[in-house]
Amino acid sequence: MQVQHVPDNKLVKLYLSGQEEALGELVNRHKDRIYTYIFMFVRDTYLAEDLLQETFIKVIDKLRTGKYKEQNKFLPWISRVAYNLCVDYYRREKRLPKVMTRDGFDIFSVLKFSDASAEDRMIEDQTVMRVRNLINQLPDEQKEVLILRHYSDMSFKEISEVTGVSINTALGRMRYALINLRKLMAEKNITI
Amino acid sequence: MTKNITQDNLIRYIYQETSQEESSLIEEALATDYELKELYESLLESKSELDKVRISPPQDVVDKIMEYSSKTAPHEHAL
Repeated sequence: MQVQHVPDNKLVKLYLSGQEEALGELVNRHKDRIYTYIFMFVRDTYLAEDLLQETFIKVIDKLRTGKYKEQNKFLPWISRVAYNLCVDYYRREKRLPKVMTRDGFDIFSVLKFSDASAEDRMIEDQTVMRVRNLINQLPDEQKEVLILRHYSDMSFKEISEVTGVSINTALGRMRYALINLRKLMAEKNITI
Repeated sequence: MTKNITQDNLIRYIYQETSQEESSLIEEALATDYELKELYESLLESKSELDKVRISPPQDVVDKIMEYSSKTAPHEHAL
């Protein structure tokens, strides 16, 4: 069966009926976006690879146990799985929280994470480095919303649910993030 | 800036979260409101810069995911 043009939810059904190639298509379709999103959070390629693998393994387990019930929202659903794994990872690392989210964890400790060894393992691509460095200069709360909305494809409503802020707050943070990004680009003479 | 179009509406429009009706109102406003149009273009420039980033994981990560799926497949699934 040609799976390239089959919608996500149909692929999920095909996979659960035993067609492995349906999972292959789902992974190929979403891997780059989820990997980019995780990388923007953790800023370490090795860690991003591990978390991507862990995300899809969790997705497979959840699909098989009937825990995916969201029609037409497969990508935001995987994004939430990835987000929770990023948060869990840093919780396990026992990084001390400063600003608590709804469930008591400080996502900013994730966003601030970076050390010398991680720097060495960063992607060499100049565009990726430039954009990552621009994002890195934003205030933490703006950075979080920007990564979630732009790279994970979560809606502002979904962002408000996972981060525990109102939709208007999320929208305001996104607006300031884009405005500040534009200012930073102007300062560095970056043209589109 | 056009009274009924807030900057937050513009953000929702840029990320395609507005209804058809809201989108039409915003498009009308963008055609006549210079200040709003300027902000819109500035926000789009930032978004375009973000759009340039798309990275791919190594193939072995994908292979490991597929391997996990086939190794842990339910019995009838594996047949």
